Amino acid sequence: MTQVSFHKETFKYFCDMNTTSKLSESALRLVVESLPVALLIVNKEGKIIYLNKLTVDLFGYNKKELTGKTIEVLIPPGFKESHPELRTMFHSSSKPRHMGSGRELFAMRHDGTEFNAEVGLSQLVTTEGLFVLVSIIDITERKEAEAKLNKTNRLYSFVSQMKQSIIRIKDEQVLLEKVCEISHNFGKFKMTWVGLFDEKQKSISLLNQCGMKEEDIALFSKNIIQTNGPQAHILNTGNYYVCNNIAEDFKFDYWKTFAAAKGIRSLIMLPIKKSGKIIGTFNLYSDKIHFFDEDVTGLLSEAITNLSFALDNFEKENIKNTFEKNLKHSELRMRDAQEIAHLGSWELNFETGIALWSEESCRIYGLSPEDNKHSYQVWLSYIHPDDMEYILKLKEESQKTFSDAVMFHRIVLKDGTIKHLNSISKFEFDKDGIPIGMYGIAHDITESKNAEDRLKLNNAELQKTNAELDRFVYSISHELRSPLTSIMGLQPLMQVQNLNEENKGILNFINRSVFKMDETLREILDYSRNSRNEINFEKIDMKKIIDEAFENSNYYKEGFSFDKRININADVPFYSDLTRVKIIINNLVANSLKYGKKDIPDAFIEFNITVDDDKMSLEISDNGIGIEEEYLHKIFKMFYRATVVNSGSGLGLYIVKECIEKLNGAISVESESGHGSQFRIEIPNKKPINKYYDKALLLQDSIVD
Amino acid sequence: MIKHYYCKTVLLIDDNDIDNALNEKLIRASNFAEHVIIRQTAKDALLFLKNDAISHQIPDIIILDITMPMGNGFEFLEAYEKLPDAILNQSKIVMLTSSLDERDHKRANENKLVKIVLNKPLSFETLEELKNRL
Repeated sequence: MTQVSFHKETFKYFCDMNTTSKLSESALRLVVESLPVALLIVNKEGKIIYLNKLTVDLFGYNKKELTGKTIEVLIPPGFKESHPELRTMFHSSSKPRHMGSGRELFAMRHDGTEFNAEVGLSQLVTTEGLFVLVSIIDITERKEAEAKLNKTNRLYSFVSQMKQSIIRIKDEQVLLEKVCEISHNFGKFKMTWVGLFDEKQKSISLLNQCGMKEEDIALFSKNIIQTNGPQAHILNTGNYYVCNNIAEDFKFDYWKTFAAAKGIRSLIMLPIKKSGKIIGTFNLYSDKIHFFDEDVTGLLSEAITNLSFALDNFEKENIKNTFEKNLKHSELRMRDAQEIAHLGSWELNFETGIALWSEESCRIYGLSPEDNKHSYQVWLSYIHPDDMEYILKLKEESQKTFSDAVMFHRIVLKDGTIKHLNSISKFEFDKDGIPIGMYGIAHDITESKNAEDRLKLNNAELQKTNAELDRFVYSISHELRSPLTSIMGLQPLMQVQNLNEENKGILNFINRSVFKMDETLREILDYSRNSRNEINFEKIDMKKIIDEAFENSNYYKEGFSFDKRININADVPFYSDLTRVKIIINNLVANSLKYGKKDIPDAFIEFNITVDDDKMSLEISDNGIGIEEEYLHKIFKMFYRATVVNSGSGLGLYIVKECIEKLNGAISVESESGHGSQFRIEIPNKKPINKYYDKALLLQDSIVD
Repeated sequence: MIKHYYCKTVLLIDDNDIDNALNEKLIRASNFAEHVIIRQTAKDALLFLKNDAISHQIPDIIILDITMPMGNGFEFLEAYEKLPDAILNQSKIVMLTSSLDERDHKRANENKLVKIVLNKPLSFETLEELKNRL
């Protein structure tokens, strides 16, 4: 039994060579068998002549199966073919050799599976010849750990670069573009790209990419979001989307061929958020399946969170910048506005006692815009001497109660110019309510003050002229009527019967002319009365006024026969200004009489009157000559006449309208030429509830006026 | 007795019927014109000129008031200017007004259609003056 004897011999050799204290062969065997290393002894021909327990465990052969086989049985195809030659070379050298560190060595199990191995070779020179001691360690786990460490290192490096970029880069666009580059360069991803959603999140556009083939870029440039696609998933959930094996995922059927061609085997898509809104996605592709495990997605999520945080900060910075820009803009606008409005402002700090004046404030006081820091005493020195007492008094009062001060005063500039200002000052308080300063405005009202003075002067002159004109009209009417009444008085004394027919005709013409003049003068007096007299409300009997109007009318006296109908429906008394109501009724009645048809049997004038708490409504209808439609809108104009029949002055209806307006009433007219006219008037009923209330009302009216 | 008239036809345009009556009397009494035609509005006067006068009675002299309701003397002149030449060539316009307003007189004098501007009332003397001036 060569083998057995070999064993004995070999172990004896071990004992002799390597140990000082003698171990028993059985003890040594136990050591070898329990080593955590697979140990084999191979002879010169490459045949395995010994293997320990771990070798059995590692390779899945039993001892018998391996004993006597060449060592190549444990080497996977691709390596084993060249192995015998290497083995022979090793035999001829005499140095021990350590294999597998620094480069990949593979071993093959009984079932054909392979694993990473580290192999050590030592020559055993025994009395039985040269043997090789082979030690094999399964380094699969170590390799995996190494790979994982490598991957983790890459990712950390990527995340760290991202962080640095976030700190360094101050522009959103640049950062988003940089992210691609970093992920490709440091994260070693096969392909990466950043896409931004449109405003309505209907499509995604490529912002930047790395690792994409030139001809593929167009495929990513702009894409509509598919309802069930990964981008839609991100939009809907706000979470990342992972596919760890594209080839096996039916969702990517449409994309498998492309991915395979590009060597892409797994992917992750991460949402890029800004101010809580998803603005785009960060898409990473790996050439390994199951690349995006929990750790990786965790790291990437953290990175993307940092990115979103940076984007938020950019946004905040943007808002801040915009705000500052707007503020600056507002300040400029404010300055312009102050200039346009001649309105300056100032702020006084009690601590320094110095007020800061705005540009326009300086201009108003005739100072250059740079000369803008002044004390209260300086300001006082500008106050017009005549206004000083008033200003000091107001200031004193204001300081007692910390109340606002509103001052209308003059200032005297250094060149002697006098300006009118409206100055307003307010106190500024701290959070405890203690006054810390003042602020206010200075409004240059010189121009408006001058205009106001001119206006006052003009107004006074106008009022004077108006009053004089009224007096003149009134006096002249009386002066003119005086000789006229003399003529009217003389006429009846004339011996008409002694005149021939022609002279009688002439006398009639004279009478008519005198009569018309009298009428016109009365109208002028009515007009004057309406504009001069105060309004006095009293109880009015409409029927009486109408009857009087008929009696006063000269036309009535001419014996024109007509039907006078008066219908009054009054539950309450009518209160108004008697003088004006009389003028109105007299004129309307006179018109109806003047322009009535004298040659028809059924001529009528009808009055329908309704009085209620609010108003008196009056309708005067007749079947006279009417008014042609084209003149209807002009009949209330001064001196307008719509007919030559019975030539009037053209004042009557104008005066009616003026009186009605004075009473806050209204008048309207309807007429059909040749068939008659209908005037409608409404006059407010100023019924007093009681004396005092009425007085209060009048007082209120005058205040409002 | 055969009367000798200064002209054949005078057209009076005035809203005041008393003035019209007076003026007609004066014109007849002074043998100023054989026919006196009266219209009380500018509108009626224009209608007369357009429809009737053109065929048989184009007035030699038109005496025109300024202040009238429904179209004053100046408005009449504006419309008159557009009438056929036969009328414009024959009729001479005299403006007669009770207005003492210089602006009215100035405006009337400046109108090339107006030959003479007279103040009311018309009298035998003014009619004689007219004969000399026209």
